[in-house]
Amino acid sequence: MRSDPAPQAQPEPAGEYLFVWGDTVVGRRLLIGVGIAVLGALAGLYGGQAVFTALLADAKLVHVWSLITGILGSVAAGIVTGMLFRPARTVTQDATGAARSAAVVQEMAASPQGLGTLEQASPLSRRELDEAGLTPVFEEAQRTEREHG
Amino acid sequence: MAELVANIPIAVLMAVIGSLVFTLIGVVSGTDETATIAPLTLAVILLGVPPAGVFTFFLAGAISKHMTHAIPTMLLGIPGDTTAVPLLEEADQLRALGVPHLALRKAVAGALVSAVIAVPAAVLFAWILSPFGTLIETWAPWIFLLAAAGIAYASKAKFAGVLALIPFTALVLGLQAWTAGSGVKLATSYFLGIAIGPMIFDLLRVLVPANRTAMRRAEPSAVFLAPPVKAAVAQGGRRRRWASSPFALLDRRQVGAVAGTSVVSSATFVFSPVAMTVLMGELVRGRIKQGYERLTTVLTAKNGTTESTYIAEALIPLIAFGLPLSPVAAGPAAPLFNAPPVFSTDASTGAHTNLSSFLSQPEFLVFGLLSVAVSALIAYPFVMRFSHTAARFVVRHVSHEAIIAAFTALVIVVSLWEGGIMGLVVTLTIGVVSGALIRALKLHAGVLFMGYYVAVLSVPGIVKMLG
Repeated sequence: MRSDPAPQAQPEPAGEYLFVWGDTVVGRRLLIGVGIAVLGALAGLYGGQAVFTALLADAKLVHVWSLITGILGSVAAGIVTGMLFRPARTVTQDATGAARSAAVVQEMAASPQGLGTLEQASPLSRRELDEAGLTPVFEEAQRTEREHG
Repeated sequence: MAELVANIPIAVLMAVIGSLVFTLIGVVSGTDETATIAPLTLAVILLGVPPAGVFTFFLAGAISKHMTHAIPTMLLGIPGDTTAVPLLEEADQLRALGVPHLALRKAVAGALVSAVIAVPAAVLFAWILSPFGTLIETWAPWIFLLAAAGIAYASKAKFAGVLALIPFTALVLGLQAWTAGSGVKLATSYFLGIAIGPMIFDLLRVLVPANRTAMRRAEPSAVFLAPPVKAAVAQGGRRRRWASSPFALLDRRQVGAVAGTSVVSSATFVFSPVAMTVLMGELVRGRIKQGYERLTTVLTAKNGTTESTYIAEALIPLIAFGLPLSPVAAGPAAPLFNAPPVFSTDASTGAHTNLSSFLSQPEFLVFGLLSVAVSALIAYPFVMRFSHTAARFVVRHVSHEAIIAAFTALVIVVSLWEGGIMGLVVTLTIGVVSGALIRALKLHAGVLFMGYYVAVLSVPGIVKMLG
């Protein structure tokens, strides 16, 4: 398993990515991954069946063990594909900006339940807000809400 | 009593294995419960593991998965599995506020409190319903029909969902008649087809040139991985501890919200877990006045509901009826009812020899609590200590191609294993149709699982009743 800290997707020509089942993939890699899946599944299922037929006399047990080896073949297909291809996604770890926090607080204020006041929060919630540095953001939003009715 | 004590070692061992396996699977986003829990539970049953071990493997696995599914949901904004989808709104807002790790800890603390409450609550509700078991078994075909229609109407598809059940049920009946002609009887292939339907549908869709143009993207998807938070604000400075108590992470109102929603959602066992998660969140939302506290409390209650619905929807049908009368029993817990030749549930008579035939009510309670305890010792501290490392590893090293490859292989293995080429054809057919219905009509998989049971239980039962 690779241990490099932040492998990023290699730049691809425009339109090279496909959005499939909730995330982006590279078409050619997806095709190879599906090919590996077919091989892993068949090798795990029928390879396991052949091995256990030679080892066990009970046909029912051979049938059960072929399912286990098939599942292991599926996991192996996933691992091999994962080792061949890096994720087609970019990862950012930028700290949340103050503007983003303020926008969320404004969204809360605009919701049917409103923002409420810090006095209505439990001591634990207020401590959490304090330690996350969010108390001033909520105080400011409360002030704005009061001033604008 | 002696039998219960004798079964404790295997129950503990299998709970540990189930919890370890599904703690890791839960971290990988998009790993649907039915597609992962059902085949592995089936393998455990067929390997000859005693019923107590089968039950703790399943339950500890489901509980652990619903703890670690919060990791990709909170830290990456990608749902860990199907039941994690309703958590996204609050997760996104708390990420934007810069406190995703706090949200994660609260969500998982809620899951643990909920699991502890849901097991005895589910056993109690099952005990109340037990006297009506025979009556319900007699009327089971009609109850399945009504429950399926109710669950379909409760989905986003509304009346279209109810209507869509008719062709879907007809398709299942047709495929069953086709395979029966060659002496092939299938069950898991249908469940897998429904659960993985959206993936199968997308893989087919991408082959169409016009669709491929619409699916093209110039840039890879951008994932914001929330940075680790330096201070564990809710732990009172005791950061060196292995894992904080849920009561240090939640205030009294939050514990109350989780307890209340757990009990309510344990009783409503015929509804879909996703629908109940949304509903319980809305129930809590209107009761908390301050915005931030409302956000964290709704999130905590919602994640608690993902646990309680799963526990109750598996336990109540097992204990009270012995029939898979809930979306969870019909989906991820299906092998506990049907795993030939070990477990079987007769479609036309309602007669069954399944997990419910081998464990008593006290055993379900004791082994259920044991599953919660093992998950609390494995999945709970894992989330508290290693959530960020695990999320970083998955998002940086596990490609989506690898996840699709693993699930494609799993579909091929399970369907070929169960029914040869016929099994594969059935899974692909059900997968394409289910995927289309889920995408186009906004149905959820729970509706289609019930549609399957209408085909195998209601239709033969009703035909028999009507002579």
